[in-house]
Amino acid sequence: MEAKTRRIGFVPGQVFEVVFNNRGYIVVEIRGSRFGISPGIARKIFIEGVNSEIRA
Amino acid sequence: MKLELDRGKFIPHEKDEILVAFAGNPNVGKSTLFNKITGLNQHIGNWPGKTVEIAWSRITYKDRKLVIVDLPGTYSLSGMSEEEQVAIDFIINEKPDVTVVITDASALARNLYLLFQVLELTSQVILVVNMMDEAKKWGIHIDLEGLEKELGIPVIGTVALTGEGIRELLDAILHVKDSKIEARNVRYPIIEKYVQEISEIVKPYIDGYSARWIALRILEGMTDLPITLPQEATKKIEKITQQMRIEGKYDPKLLIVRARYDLVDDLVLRYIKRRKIEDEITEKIDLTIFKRGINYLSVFGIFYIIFWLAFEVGGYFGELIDSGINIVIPLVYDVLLSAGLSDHISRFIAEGVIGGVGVVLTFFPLVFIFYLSYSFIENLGIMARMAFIMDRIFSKLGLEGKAFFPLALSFGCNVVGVTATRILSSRKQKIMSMITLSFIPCAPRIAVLGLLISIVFPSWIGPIIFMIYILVSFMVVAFTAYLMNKITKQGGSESFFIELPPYRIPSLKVISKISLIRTEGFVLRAGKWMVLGSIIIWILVNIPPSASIEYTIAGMIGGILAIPGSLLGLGWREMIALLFGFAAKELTLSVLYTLYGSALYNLPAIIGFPTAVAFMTIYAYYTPCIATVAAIVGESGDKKLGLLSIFYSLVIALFLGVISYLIAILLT
Repeated sequence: MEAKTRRIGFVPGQVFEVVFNNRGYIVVEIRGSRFGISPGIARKIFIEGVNSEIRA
Repeated sequence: MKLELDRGKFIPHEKDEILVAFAGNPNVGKSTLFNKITGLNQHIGNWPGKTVEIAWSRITYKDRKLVIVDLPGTYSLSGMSEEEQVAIDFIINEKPDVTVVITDASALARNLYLLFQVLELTSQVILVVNMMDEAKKWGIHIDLEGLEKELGIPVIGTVALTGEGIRELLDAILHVKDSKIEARNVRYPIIEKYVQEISEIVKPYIDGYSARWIALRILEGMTDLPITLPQEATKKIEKITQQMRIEGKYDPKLLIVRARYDLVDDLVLRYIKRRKIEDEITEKIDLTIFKRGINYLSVFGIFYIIFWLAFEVGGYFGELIDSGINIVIPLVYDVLLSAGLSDHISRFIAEGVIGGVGVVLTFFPLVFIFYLSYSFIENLGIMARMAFIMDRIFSKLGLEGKAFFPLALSFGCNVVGVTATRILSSRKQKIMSMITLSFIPCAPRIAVLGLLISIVFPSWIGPIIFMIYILVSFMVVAFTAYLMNKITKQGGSESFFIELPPYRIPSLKVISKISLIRTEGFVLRAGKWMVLGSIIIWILVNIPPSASIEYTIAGMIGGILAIPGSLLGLGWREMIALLFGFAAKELTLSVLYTLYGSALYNLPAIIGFPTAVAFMTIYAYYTPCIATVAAIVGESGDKKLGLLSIFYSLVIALFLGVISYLIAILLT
């Protein structure tokens, strides 16, 4: 359940959970901090089976 | 990312002064700590070639002189954003004696990543664990001594808001300056041997850089190396990276990142004990304001408060200053006249120069209150959420969510809107916003337009016509943003991510100080252009002396402009009125009234309905006022952008003027 993203400095190879999802605009918790992420970025993060771990 | 500066060139300082860099993630209280230590004595400047600001200050502590530099907040030092590049450039080029990495005690698991990247550049580092009080509140215990032993660098706990730990930090800075620190470095399992092999290859060419850091950048796939490698070395490195791919089938970049995080996790596990206490307030507010429907309402509610504060409260003080200036101008004139200066020179100094300074001063309370209210909601943690909510709409135009604020504030005053572009994250976003916002009618333009509509159209249709003008201005904003987006190939939602910090009550003292410094910056940047603009306008309308308006330089320019204007039936009076509108939008009305008198209320009968409509349309969309252009030049540092805003809006206004003229002909 790791998100492999090289484009975002703060989440490379990080585990995270989605705490809110409003039509693709998601709020994720990464290492105890919240980030708002747009659908374009979210699509890039959700690879390698991460989708199955989405809670919201 | 080439070496552009020698040490001390960006921030000149004496040899005996200790250069200290403050680095850290956004929202860790870095600027609060910086402000607490340095007070109001600050300088702010843009890093050469970048829009990113750096603040620095000089202090004396225990008879030692320190130059403290507040670097932009960054999540990492990968060089992916302007802020990251500036932070890297500073640490490499300015070679600070001490680099202080500031972290949030409740987010060490994320913040320590940056520390290890900084340690790859320099070992003269101090780790500050800030917001220790908040950590306590959340049931987090941090073993600072244990961390210090483990990392090999001083670790200081602070509470920036109260000043707790600052003395210890300053002592640590002196200690690091006077010692050689042996800090812990990240070892990279699996690829460590490749890191070392590449380090050996690049060593003869590192030009003062760390060979290990260069090797890591190569393995991370960064192509913008600060050194030039000969072909032979490049070939050797390529061979190694090829070998890595064949042997391991792994991505070195991901391994490097993982190794750093593994080390962070190891430290967190051993030195941080956490009783899980949920931040219920943040949870509840977030779940409410992100809900569909409530989200946009909350943005408009917050915006309304900022708008009201800036233009009602700030406007009130602005008017007070204006009244003061209006008292000062005749006094200055009398003094100069009695001192023996000619009438014309006295008027020039009093009206042109002092009047110009007055224009700048009247903006001061507006800009200050905007910055103050903005800083308050930003530090409260709300602004990031507003930007996140508005991104859905603005990304379609190629703008980021935060662009909503400068654009919406432009309804009050375009100058304030331009100033607010400073909150945007990239230069492209700032430029796009500056050009588009000049089509948002400001309060004076709305007032004049409303009056002209009431003169030209019957009262029953007036509100509809007004709405059409506002709607068209939105369409022009959307079209301009779309066009610029296409030209600059700027992505919208593709690149939007933002940290949503926990809600915190900010320190009014700190945000007042920051707002005051920002406002001073605005006055210094845009003020000179506003004064110059005011002087030019004065000369245009007062040369030759004592001539009636149509015989002044402005009148003659109006006469020349009336030649192309005649195609739409526009005469010299309308052109002069538009020219004065360039000085200040409300002047168009007073000039029209001076030239037409009460006959102004019969304008359609005098110049014809289609011409009156074309005039209104051109007025609604043509060049922003000179103060706005000055603000654009001041904020962007690019005179060409000021000219672009004038000519582009002129073209759009003329185009729409012709269209409205033709429609009016069809209707009559």
